Amino acid sequence: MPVPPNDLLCRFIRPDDWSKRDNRPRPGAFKQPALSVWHIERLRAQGAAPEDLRIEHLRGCGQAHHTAADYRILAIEASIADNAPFQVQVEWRPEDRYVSEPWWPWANAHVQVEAIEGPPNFLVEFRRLLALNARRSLPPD
Amino acid sequence: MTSLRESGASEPAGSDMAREAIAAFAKGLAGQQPDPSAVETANSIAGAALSMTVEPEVTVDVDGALSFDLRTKDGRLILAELSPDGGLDASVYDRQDKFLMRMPAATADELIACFRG
Repeated sequence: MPVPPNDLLCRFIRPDDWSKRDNRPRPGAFKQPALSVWHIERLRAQGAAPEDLRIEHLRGCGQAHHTAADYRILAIEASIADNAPFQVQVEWRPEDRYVSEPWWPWANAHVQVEAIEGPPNFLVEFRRLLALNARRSLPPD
Repeated sequence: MTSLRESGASEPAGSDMAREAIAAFAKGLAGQQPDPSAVETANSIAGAALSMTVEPEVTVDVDGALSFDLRTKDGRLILAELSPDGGLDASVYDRQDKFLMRMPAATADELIACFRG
């Protein structure tokens, strides 16, 4: 089921994927065949915040927030810029096979951004647009 | 050819990061080592980037590719990815980060030529 367009989603940014020079996420932070992001309102509804999920390999990570619509619109912009077919879907993915055990308590807030047309690791231009257009970003510790 | 194999006292910003990233790239992910020519290409690009761009940022991506996030001295942004098989894909943007051109099968020399403007 698709995530409503205006809902805010948090992508965790590992320290290696944060540009200290430009003080923003690097495009590589969004290079995944299935990009895991977290629905902020659903986390809040359970009394949690994105910071609470920074455990295990997410410890010390920064954050980049986009809406579901941002992901879809920036994919279209990237497709036009690169003159290449490219589309993404932004879908709820709460099932165990998508969420590792330490994050099961928040599984209902788990969302994946997946390419449904074009390269599975996303167009470079899409990754760049995501890096430049986060509504809010927080550097890693 | 410029190489990052040796460490020196007066190195440009980004040298340690580039050296560590190239070492990780050369080691490969899940035991799959890159083509030796790809490692040479990585050293060549990183060496040029360190002397010709501002605080170059070099990292290994989750898929084992080496990413170069470069800002030229005249302010252009160059994003390049070197895959373990030696394929090089680069995009160049102007000072306002507006797209200028894509180089989907660039050579190291072509990419380095972009650093000069």
